[in-house]
Amino acid sequence: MSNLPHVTDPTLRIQAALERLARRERALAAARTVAVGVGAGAALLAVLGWTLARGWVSPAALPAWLSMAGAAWVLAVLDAGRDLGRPVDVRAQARQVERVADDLRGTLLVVVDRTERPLGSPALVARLAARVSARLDAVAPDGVHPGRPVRVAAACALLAVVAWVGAHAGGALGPRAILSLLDRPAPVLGETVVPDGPRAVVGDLELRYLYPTYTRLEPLTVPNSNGEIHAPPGTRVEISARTARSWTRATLVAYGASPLPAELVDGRRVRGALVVAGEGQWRLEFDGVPSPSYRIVPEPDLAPDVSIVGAARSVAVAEDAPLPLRYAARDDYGLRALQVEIREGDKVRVVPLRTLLDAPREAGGAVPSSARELGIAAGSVVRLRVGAADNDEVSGSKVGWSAAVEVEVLGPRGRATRRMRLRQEIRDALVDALAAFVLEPSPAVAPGARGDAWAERADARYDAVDALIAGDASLLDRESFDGRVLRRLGEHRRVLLATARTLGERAAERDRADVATLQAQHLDTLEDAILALDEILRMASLEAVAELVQRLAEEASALRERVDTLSGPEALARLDQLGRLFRQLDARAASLDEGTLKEFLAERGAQAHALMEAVRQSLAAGRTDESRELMRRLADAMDAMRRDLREMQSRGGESRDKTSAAMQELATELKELAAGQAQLRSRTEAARERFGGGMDEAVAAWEQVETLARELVEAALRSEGTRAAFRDASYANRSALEDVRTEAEGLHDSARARDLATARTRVRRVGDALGWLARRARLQAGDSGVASDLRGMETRTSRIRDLLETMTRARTRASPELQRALQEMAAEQERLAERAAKATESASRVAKKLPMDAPGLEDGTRRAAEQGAQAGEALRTGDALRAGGAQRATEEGLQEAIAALQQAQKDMQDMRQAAQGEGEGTPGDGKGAGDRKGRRDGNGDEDSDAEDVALPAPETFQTPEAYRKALLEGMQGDVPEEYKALNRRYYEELVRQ
Amino acid sequence: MKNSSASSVLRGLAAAVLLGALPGRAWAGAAEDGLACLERADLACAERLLAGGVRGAAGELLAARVAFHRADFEDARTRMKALAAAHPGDKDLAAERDHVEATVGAAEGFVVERRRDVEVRYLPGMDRVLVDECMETLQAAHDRIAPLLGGAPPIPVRVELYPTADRFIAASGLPAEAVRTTGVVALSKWDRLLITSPRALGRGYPWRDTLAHEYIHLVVAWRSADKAPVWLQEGIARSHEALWARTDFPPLAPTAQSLLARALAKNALVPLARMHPSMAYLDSAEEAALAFAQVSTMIEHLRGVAGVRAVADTLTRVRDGADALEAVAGVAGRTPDAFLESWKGYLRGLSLVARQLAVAPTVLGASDDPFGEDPVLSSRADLAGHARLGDLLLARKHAEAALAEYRKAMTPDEPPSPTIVAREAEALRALGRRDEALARLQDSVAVYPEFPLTRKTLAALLVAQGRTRDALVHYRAAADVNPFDATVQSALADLHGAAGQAELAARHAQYRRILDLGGEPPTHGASR
Repeated sequence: MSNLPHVTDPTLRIQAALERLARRERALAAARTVAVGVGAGAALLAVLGWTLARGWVSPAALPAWLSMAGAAWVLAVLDAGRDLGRPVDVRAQARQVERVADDLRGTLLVVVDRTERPLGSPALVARLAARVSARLDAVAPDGVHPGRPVRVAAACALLAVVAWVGAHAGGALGPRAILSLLDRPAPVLGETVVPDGPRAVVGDLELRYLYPTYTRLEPLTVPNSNGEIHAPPGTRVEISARTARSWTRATLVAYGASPLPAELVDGRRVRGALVVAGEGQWRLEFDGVPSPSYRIVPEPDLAPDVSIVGAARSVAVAEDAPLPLRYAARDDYGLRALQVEIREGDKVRVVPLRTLLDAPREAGGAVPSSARELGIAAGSVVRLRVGAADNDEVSGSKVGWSAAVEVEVLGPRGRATRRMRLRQEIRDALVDALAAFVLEPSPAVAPGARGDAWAERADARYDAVDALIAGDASLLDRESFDGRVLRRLGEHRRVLLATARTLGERAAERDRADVATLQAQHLDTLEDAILALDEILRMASLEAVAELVQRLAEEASALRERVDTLSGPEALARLDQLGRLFRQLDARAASLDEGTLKEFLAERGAQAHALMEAVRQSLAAGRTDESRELMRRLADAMDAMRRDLREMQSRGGESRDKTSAAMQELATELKELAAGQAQLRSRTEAARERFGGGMDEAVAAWEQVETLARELVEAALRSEGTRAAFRDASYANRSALEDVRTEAEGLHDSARARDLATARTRVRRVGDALGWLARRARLQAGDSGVASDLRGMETRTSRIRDLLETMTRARTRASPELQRALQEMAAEQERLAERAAKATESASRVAKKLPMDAPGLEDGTRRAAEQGAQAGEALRTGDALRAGGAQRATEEGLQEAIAALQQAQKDMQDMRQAAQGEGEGTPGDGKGAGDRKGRRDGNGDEDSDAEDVALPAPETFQTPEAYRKALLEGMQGDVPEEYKALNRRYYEELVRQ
Repeated sequence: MKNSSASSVLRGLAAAVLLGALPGRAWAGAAEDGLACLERADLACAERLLAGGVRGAAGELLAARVAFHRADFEDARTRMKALAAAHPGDKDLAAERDHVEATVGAAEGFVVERRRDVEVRYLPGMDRVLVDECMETLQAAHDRIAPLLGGAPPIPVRVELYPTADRFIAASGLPAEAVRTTGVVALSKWDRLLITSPRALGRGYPWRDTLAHEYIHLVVAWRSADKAPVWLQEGIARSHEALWARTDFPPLAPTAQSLLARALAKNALVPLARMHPSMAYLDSAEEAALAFAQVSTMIEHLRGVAGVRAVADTLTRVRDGADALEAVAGVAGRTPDAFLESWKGYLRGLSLVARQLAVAPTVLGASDDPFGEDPVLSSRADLAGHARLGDLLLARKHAEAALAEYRKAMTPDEPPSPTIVAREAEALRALGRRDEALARLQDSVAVYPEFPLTRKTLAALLVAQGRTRDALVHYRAAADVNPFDATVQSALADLHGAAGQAELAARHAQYRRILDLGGEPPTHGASR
């Protein structure tokens, strides 16, 4: 250590010495960092320059390599210089000194500490510091912070620099060359580097592309080209150029191959041609002097892109139904053929699907074959993908594949099972949707809120249902009971959501109320759909439970018969068998609804389990007699279970039979009533014709009123001009428009019922509403079309009003003969009305017993009863026309009720059939979807048709997709009558927007 | 109550079938007297005369009938077969023989247990769980109720527990359809009590009260020489049936209160004359239930007016030939009209449940209809649909939505369904609203006390709250209706054990074991 004579305080001397050591440490670190930086940089540049020169690294990859090299250099430098930023720490220096100087160990740090935090006797510390200071002077700085590592680093750096210089001399690229590569197109693999030297100058480059025939691309000329060729392989490129001076000979060099002849015209105009074969370069050579090189960039003909459209990742499909898979394939230049790859375990086979004529660029459609036709047996689970081969005649045809879809192929039984599972899954998904709908306020769209946001949320609640239906569309027959139920729900859903989407922030209260009404109807339909599916599942579960219990009882009976001779192991085996059956029964019971049957099965199951356990314990303990007694009890319990279940089913059947009988009885009564009413109406008309002289005019007038009223309704519904005029209409205007329609419908009903008083009231209301609209239209639109619309309606209204007034004035009492004839019929009419009233009560009772709603049943009978009573009153007062009208309305009400009842009967029957698995399309029965060619023969072989997939147009096979579309999207067909007006309003709103 | 129409139906039907034609025959001497004793429901008298020696066909008939009344079915069958064979043209005898034969079949495999004054015949197996409580109920009825009626007949109380509805129907001699439509589950006839095991009904029924009810018929028939009209018999039986377990008259069942309140308001009470010859001939089950409520309150009123001996005195007067209404009024110290008026005044003084409540249907055997035994939902598929939707939602963890559906299954114009209340409570519990669930269940129990599901659900909630003593009450009530519910028996065993009631805990644990094994555990080493 250097002496510091002017510093006498030993502690200060120590401090100074340690600080010097710290400075040395930092200086050494800096030197090492520089050496490492220089050395690493030189080494990296040498390696990069060499590899680039050798072509081991593509210039295209140069940026990446440079990045990596740069990162490596930074890391090395950071590592070397990690001590540079460290603050001066005398304690750390003291520790390092103590490590190398044994005689200072344990003392230097003490002095440093006591200097910083005085403690103990200052005199003692001072003495110790003096001693330490003296010893510290003897410590060599190089011993604490040796300079050798820095020297080594510097030597390495020097070596690296020498290596770099050497490499450069040997052909490695220098830093500038490397950087220049970044600005240049990458050298091409396999291309010899053209040595630097004089270049022939060319200009006016023109490229003419002659594409391969299969691409069906027109020839393309590119004047003033930069020389780069971009074309698919196989393309012939005709090159023409001009040179700066005249040459005597020209050749074309492409892909580094032998020069191709080039035509030289006038010494300066050159023409040549090459065929694109891949990535490379081309150049011209004039009398051995090369032109600059130009890139050849092939545009590869990629394999076709194929996708499966809209299908889930796995589908279950009936063996004989078309696969519910739609594909879409496209290719750059053309498609040659389509095929299906079927992977079953390790076995893979490819079945041709379609051979495409004229190599279209796009092809799509449904896989038209059934699983059976594709040679996939029922019960198999395969992975299937669709492939498309392109028409590449140069590189060879390439096949592109879709993602694979797992296909489970179901036979009739498997299909029935899967369908039942699907029903359950759909039911559960619907229940999840219901959970959200049932808790919503009504209307769901709050005042001031837009309806579309709610509609989106509401629609999303059906995502799981939609996915299930899409995935297994082939399992759901559109015309089946389930299909009808879901279709009806789909209609209500679409109408609700479509209407809700029309609600703007300033939507009228009335519109929100309409949405609330639709919301309630949709909720009812959703609940009905769930209950219908659930009822099918319940009935099916009951069947399955009964079958299982029967098997259990048979097993138990066999057990009882052999109980005295069974060995222990045999008994245990039989108990195991019973246990397995019970587990199946437990699983089945779990899917039943809560109720006495479920409790019954649970209780009996628990008892059987306990008994079986007791038998096992007895057997294990060697108590043979006891185990036999318990096995007998077990058999008795199973017998009792079977008996009770049978009784229960019989009682349930009786109950259903009673409901069926009540429905049949009601249907008979309604038909009799309808027939009686029709007869009575004929008699009324006959009496009127016979005794009602002078009524012909009234009859004709009523018929006119009826016709005009119908026209008025239609005009109110179809009046485009009026709707357009009111697209920005206030609530009052739209309300008036709605009133016209409603009142016109009422007027039509009154005309049919020949109800003069009501008809007059309604025609007045129609007139008032039309008057309001006409005034508003004149103010707002002044449009002749609107005026014409309204004028047409006003004319009809006016005509009706006149006719009704005429009838009122001409109203005369019926002749005494007619009055007598009518009064004679009045009592009969009243009896019919009373019967209709009783039928209304029966209808109400029946409706409460039905598992599904029967719309029209109660309404129809109620209307029949009311109109029947009015007909009776009209007959009593001798009003033949009104009586006839009311009689007709009575008949219509009865017919509506009959239709509703028949539909309910059909629903119940379908529900039972669905639960029993009828109509599942068993092979050979001609039912269900499919069962076309390719049926297995008696040996289980496929007939030849199965493999010979001759493919007609895909449109022929769109049933599942059409069904799916109909369920999920379409509102193409008719909607319930009550929604038509709302539909119209929806489209009006669309027009406004 | 379900069984209350039993006697009335039987008196209307069985008597006509079995006994109607016989009194006209010229049976001579002591045998004829003995047969007359049986008609007066006096088996002891018939036995005495039989023991004194009878002869001829009448004697054989008396011996056969006495054997039948004493539940010695094999002896009765042998004698009846011989009699019928000796009188091949006698259709009545053939019918009686067939009935005895059917009874033998129905009682096949029965064993007898006797304790003090009670004999119980039952099929070994699960029905063993009924025997102890059957004995206790009848002994209590014998000791507590019979004295109120003037004493019990000097014969053992013989009871048969029929394990199935079919066996009961066969033994009762009633047409199966009549039993199923009227819901008859028990019968007091031939000096015996015939009762269907609660196992034969999906959710059980209050079988102990029913047993006491039938026992009262037995006593009343004996005390009145079988002269009491149906309305008086049913009035006494219905009003006294619960006294085996308590000392005071219990309040009327809420359903009965509801019927009475509405009938009073509309002045639509059923006249006594319309109750003859059987309640079963009334227009509807609801009208029959109203009639039962009327006569029951009438007897309660009589006791209130004339004291504890009133019923016994009335029966004595009836036995002595008095008209039943006059006898009742006489004991009350009034004229018949005045008595009826005072009874109506008594009814108006009661605070009756005014709300309309449905009567639970009686369903023999388990039902595949999940709501077949619910008083409301059994006849309302539309409401049952909402209940099912609630169940489906709850099963998929949508408790709030389930609650909404359950509430849609309740309408203001319909009585609250106990099933729905129990399910609603489950949903509330899932939502953590336990107190609300508890309150709803307690309300429902007050309205439908005989619905075990509500009791069980309530008891489980109470246990969860640590209110084991309250829970015990409801489990006990559930077991009184359906003793075959193994979970209830387990809970009773646990709760009695926790309450330090070791004997009761052991009893219910034993019942649980019996239910598990289908009977008492076999003795080690025993063979069949």
